Amino acid sequence: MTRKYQFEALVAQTELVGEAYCRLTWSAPEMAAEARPGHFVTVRQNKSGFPLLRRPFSIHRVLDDGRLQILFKVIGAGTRQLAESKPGDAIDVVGPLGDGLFRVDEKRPNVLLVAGGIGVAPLLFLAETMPAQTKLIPVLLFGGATARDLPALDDFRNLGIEVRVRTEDGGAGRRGLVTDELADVLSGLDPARTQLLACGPMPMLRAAAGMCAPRGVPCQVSLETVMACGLGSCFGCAIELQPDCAEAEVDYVRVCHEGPVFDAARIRWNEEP
Amino acid sequence: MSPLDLTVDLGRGLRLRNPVMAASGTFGYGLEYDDLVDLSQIGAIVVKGLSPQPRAGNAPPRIVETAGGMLNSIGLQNPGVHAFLAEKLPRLLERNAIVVANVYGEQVEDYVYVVEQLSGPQADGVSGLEINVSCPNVKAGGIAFGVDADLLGALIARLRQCTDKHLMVKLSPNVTDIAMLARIAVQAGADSLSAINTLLGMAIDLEARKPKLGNVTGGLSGPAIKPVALRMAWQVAQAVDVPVIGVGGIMNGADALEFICVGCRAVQVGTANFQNPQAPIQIAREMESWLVSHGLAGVDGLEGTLNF
Ligand SMILES: Cc1cc2nc3c(=O)[nH]c(=O)nc-3n(C[C@H](O)[C@H](O)[C@H](O)COP(=O)(O)OP(=O)(O)OC[C@H]3O[C@@H](n4cnc5c(N)ncnc54)[C@H](O)[C@@H]3O)c2cc1C
Ligand SMILES: Cc1cc2nc3c(=O)[nH]c(=O)nc-3n(C[C@H](O)[C@H](O)[C@H](O)COP(=O)(O)O)c2cc1C
Ligand code: FES
Repeated sequence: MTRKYQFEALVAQTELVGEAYCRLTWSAPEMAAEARPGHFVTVRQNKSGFPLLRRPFSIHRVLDDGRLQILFKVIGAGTRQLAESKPGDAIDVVGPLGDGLFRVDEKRPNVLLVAGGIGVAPLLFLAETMPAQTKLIPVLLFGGATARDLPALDDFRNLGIEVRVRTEDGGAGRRGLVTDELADVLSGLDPARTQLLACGPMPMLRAAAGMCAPRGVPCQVSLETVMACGLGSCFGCAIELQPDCAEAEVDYVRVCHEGPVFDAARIRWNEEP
Repeated sequence: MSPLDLTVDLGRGLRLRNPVMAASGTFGYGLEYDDLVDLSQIGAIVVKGLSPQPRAGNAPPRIVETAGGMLNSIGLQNPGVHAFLAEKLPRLLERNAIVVANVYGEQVEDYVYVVEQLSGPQADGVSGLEINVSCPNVKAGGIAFGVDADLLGALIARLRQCTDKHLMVKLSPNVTDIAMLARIAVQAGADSLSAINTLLGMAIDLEARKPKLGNVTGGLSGPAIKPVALRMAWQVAQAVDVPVIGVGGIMNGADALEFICVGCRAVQVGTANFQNPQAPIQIAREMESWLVSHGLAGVDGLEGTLNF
C-alpha cells in the first residue's frame, strides 16, 4: 500500500487552460515519489473553513523535479477558489490516495485511453509513464462538448500519441460522442489484443463498459463520487458492485479506497448515475 | 511537552489523554489515519458503529455538502464486532490509542450481543462503550430508541447488566425534551452522556425534483448544527450530574471551549476530521493555549462557568 502524506504545500503555478479549466502545480517530492497513475489527492485551499470538505482530484502529472499537477474544471466554489490561488499561496494536500490504480496489461498491445472532457486528467499521467513501464504506446480517444472542452490535448500530441477527437458540436474532430469513436475503433481491433482505460462522466463510462463486455475487452474505469474523508474511513463514497452470486447481500465498495479505478465488469451500472 | 495536564477522567475506567475525542463514524477505526496522525495523541478514538454482523449500508449517494454542513446516510456500513475485535483493535492498541467502541443495533438483542462481545476478554483494550440510540428499533415499528423514554430506559438498564465497562449514551437531538431523556439514561445506569448525534435533514435537486441522498433523508453535521448542539449540551449538563461530552459542529479550540463553558467535561469532533485529519490534536492544542493564556490549569476551571 502507498504511504500517504499530508502537506502544507505552496502553489508553484496556476495556469488557466481555456476559460473553464485550470492546471495547478506544487512541489511535494515525497508524494511525487509515491504517486502512480490513478492515484488522487484531496486539496483544501482556504484556512477560513469554506468550503467545508476537501476536494478530490486525480494526479494529472508528476514532473521530474518532484512537482505534482492537477488539472480541473471550474464548476463550483471549491474549484473556483483553487483556480484563483496565486503562486506562493498555501494549499493543504493529502495523498496519494486510492488503492485501485490503472494497471496496463503488457500482453495487450492495443491500449485505448478513453476520455470524456475533464476525465482526461489522470490519463496524461498514464500516457506519460506507460512507454517506459510497459513499452506500449496508447491511443487517446477524446470527446468533449465543444473544442474548448478538450484540455491537455496538445500535451498528448506532444508525446507523439495518436489522438482521435470527437465533439458534440463538431467544433473539433468528428461530430459525435467519444463512445461513437470507440465503437468505430473497437470494430477494427482484435479484442484479445486490446484493453481500455477510461475516465469521464458516468454515462460515458457505462456505455464504454457496455461495449467492452460482450467483446471480452478488459476495461478499467476511474470513478468519481462525492467524498468526505477520502481515506476509506467514512464509507460515504460507496458504489454498488455487481451482485456476487455467492453472496446474496449488496456489496458496496469505497471509491476512495478500493478505487478510484475499477474493473468495469465489477461495477453495477445503474440506468441513472 | 504539554504545559498542562489535560487528561480527563470520565469515570469507570475511561480516562482521556485530553478532552478531545474523534467522533464515531468520522474517524473510521483510526487505522485509516495511521500514516497521517499520531493516534496516541488523540483524547480517545470513538470507532465507527459496530453491529453484531457486517452491514452493507444504504444505497448511494450517501453524502451531500450543504450550507455550513453535510448530510450523510451511510447506513452504518461496518464489518461487524467480530472483525473489529480480531483485525482492528489489536492494531489500534499497538498504536497506543485510547479506544471507545460505538454500538449500534436494530433491536435490544443486537445491542446486548455487541456489548457482551466488547466486554469479554478479547476486548480488554476497549476503554469504554458509546451507545448510539439514534437507530430505528425494528421491533417497535422503526421508532428510534433514543426518542422514546420507555425504550431508552429499558435498553440502557439492560446493557448496564451486561457490562462493567464505562457506558456512554449518545443522545439523539431529534426529540422535544432532551433533558428528560438524559435523566432517563442516567437513571438506567449511564456513566456519561454524549450530545448530540446528527439532526435529521434532507436535500433535493430541484431541476430533477429528486432527493440528493439515495436514502432520501440523512443526518446533518458540521458547523451548521453547532448552536443546536450547544443548546442541547447545556440543557443536558443542567439536567444530570454525570459527565457530559459535547458533540456537534466543533471545528476549532474556541468551539470546543464553549461546550466546556456550558457544562461539558469533554468534547468529540466529527465533521472537522474530514476537513483536516489533524483536527482532534489541533483542537486540543488550541484549547490548551487558551487555557494557559487565561491562567487556567485545566478544563475543569472552565467547566460550567457560564455567566448570565
Ligand atoms: C477520485 C476523484 C478524482 C477527481 N479528479 C478530478 C480531476 O482530475 N479534475 C476535475 O476537474 N475534477 C475531478 N474530480 C471531481 C472534483 O472533485 C469536483 O469537480 C470538485 O469536487 C467540485 O468542487 P466544487 O466546490 O468546485 O463544486 P461544487 O459543485 O460546489 O461541489 C459541491 C460538492 O459536490 C462534490 N462534487 C461535485 N462534483 C463532483 C464530482 N464530479 N465528483 C465528486 N464530488 C463532486 C464536491 O466535492 C462538493 O462536496 C474528481 C473526483 C473524484 C472523486
Ligand atoms: C459520515 C458520518 C458517520 C457517522 N456515523 C456515526 C456512527 O456510526 N455512530 C454514531 O454514534 N454517530 C455517527 N455519526 C455522528 C457523529 O459522531 C457526530 O455525532 C455528529 O456528526 C455531530 O458532530 P460533528 O458536527 O462534529 O460532525 C456520524 C457522522 C457522520 C458525519
Ligand atoms: S470518502 Fe470516506 S470512505 Fe471514501
